[in-house]
Amino acid sequence: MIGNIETILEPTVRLGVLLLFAALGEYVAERAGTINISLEGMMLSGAYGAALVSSLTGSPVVGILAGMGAGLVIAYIQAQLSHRLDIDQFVVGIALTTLALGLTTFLFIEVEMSSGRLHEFRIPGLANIPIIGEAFFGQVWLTYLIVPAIFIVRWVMTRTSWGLELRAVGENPPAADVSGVPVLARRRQSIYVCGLLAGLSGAYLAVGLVGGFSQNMTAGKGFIAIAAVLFGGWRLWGAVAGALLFGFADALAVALPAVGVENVPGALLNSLPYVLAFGGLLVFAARARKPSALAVPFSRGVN
Amino acid sequence: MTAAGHSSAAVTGNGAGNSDATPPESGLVGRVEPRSVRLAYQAAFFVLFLALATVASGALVALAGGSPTAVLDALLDGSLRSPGAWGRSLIEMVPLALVGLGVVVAFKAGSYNIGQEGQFAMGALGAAVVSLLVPGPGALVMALALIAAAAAGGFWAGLAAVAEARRKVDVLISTLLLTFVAPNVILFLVSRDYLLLDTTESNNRLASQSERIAEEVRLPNLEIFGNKVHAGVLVALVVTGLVALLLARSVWGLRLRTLGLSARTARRAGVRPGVVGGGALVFSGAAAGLAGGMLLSGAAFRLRAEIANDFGWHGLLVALVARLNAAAVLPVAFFFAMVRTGGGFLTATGVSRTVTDVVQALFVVAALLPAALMFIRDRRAARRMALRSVSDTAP
Repeated sequence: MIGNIETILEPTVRLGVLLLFAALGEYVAERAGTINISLEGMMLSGAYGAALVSSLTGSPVVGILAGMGAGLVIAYIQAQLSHRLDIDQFVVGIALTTLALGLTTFLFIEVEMSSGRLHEFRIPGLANIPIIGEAFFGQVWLTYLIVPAIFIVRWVMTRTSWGLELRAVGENPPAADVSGVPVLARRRQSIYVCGLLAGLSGAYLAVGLVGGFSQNMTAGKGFIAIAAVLFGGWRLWGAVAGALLFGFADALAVALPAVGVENVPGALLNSLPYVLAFGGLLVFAARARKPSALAVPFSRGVN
Repeated sequence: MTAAGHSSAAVTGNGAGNSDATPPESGLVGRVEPRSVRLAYQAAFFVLFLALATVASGALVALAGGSPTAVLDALLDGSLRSPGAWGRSLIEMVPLALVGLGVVVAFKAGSYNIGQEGQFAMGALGAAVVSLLVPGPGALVMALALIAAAAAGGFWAGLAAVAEARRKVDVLISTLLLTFVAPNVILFLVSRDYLLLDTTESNNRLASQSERIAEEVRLPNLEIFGNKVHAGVLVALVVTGLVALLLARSVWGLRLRTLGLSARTARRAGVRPGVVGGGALVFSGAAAGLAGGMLLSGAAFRLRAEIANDFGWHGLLVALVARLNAAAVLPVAFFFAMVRTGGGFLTATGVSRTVTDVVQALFVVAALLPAALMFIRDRRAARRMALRSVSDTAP
């Protein structure tokens, strides 16, 4: 029984953190007023960039940085098109996700790369704690980065003027505008942050968990991360809870057969994260107060 | 729209009546750009970016070590030139066009349904259930199957519509999430022998798929100049015409477009967002479902979990490239269908067929950019105007 908990807890942390990196980025973008659905494309290109560069240089760290850079490239295009040139943010997001999927699939077939994965970094002492030790302290080092990442995002969003301006831009852009906040610039910057974090999430998947790239390897995880932010009611800790919950649902698909529960249909397990996310939104979305200007494009002079 | 709000309508030429108006004496309103000039610019930008996308695709093929002309030849052979090829492209066009029309209606109403892939699969499921299980004369069952397909797709989108109306769940996310559930519903059904699994000898219970539907309940074939196409092509033509007409000329179309342009204005004018917007969402789901039914009854004949095979996503892209213009959906869908059918002929050229995914995505991006250039032009014009009005009024 205790062994079973361990078997489920370990992939929950692994997959939950994967979603969480992306969800943190999406949280920043959404608080500034963008529903960034190119998140999936950012993760996918981050995964490809990380796998390719770490295979070329032999250094996973450089690979991870490259993955963040690849996410940033998508973010740059998304930000410029939707918050400078006034093209519909969803349309841009769909186009970019399609482009990322097509390009990574094509390049993956055309360019050969070797596989290589980060090693687990067991934190001495703590990793030996029964039940939770392996799950929380026996992961690859990139996993632990999520803890400072959460607190840095929290600090930036609540304690810096930049973060306050981001949130103002998501709530009431005309008011922010007359106060001298560069609305579109802040929105673009929020998407850059999102791109970096989503790229990191993709890199974590490719270099940290799988050790290589495969076609469409994110498989909708970016969309689940967006759902986690909505599920969490656009609050940081809500998004964290949502990401971990959906990570748990993902983990069940991996772990249930391993703990001897075999008569659950695979179709049910596969759709569990999505059903859970939809159900969660049904329960929580109506109560949450979303950023007032979410998905509303800003232009001066009209309202 | 721009900083010079008071003159922007005149500058951009959006106002219907003032396209030929002569500039008034005052310096406040400047030279008016006729609508035809504006359209010409848009068309020129469009052609420019399509050319750029083509060049970029060619460069990509060359980078991968292939020959761009050989790839283009293979694509054209596979989609148009070889015997029976354009018939296959037409058959491929039907689902893409139907999905795309649904997207146009939903997006015009401001309802961002991007779950066509799932609605398409559910439509195929609906058609398969009726085709396999309902007894009766072939033509009747076929018609029922298509109705069931539209109903199943509409139901899948309707879940999102209800979730939005009752619980304020964002359509964009709910339709997406449901997309990932749909193939698993089918997988569940086609891997149980007491449900839809093909239990005949030939399958030997190995593949998760349903039996083939009977000959009598399939869409009838037509033969045009040696190319076999099914009757769905006619349905697609009729539906396209109807949707284009209704969007442009009916009260429903006006309400829908008003809602999409400004929800606040629409509500003031008495448009009920739940009914019109939710209705558009269900309609787009039904269109995607009907597309799935057409694929099952006209081309695939048996149900598998992977039946949607990107038709939903590509139909979404078709609508985006058509710039949400119902009449433009057909030609764009035919272009996408050509790329899809031609892609199978790339093996001989040594370039992976996945290059077609990149080509499609590049065309989608190319179709977005003319609007961006127009935006830049308008902004520049407005700035010039603002500067001129300032210098004119200065003492």
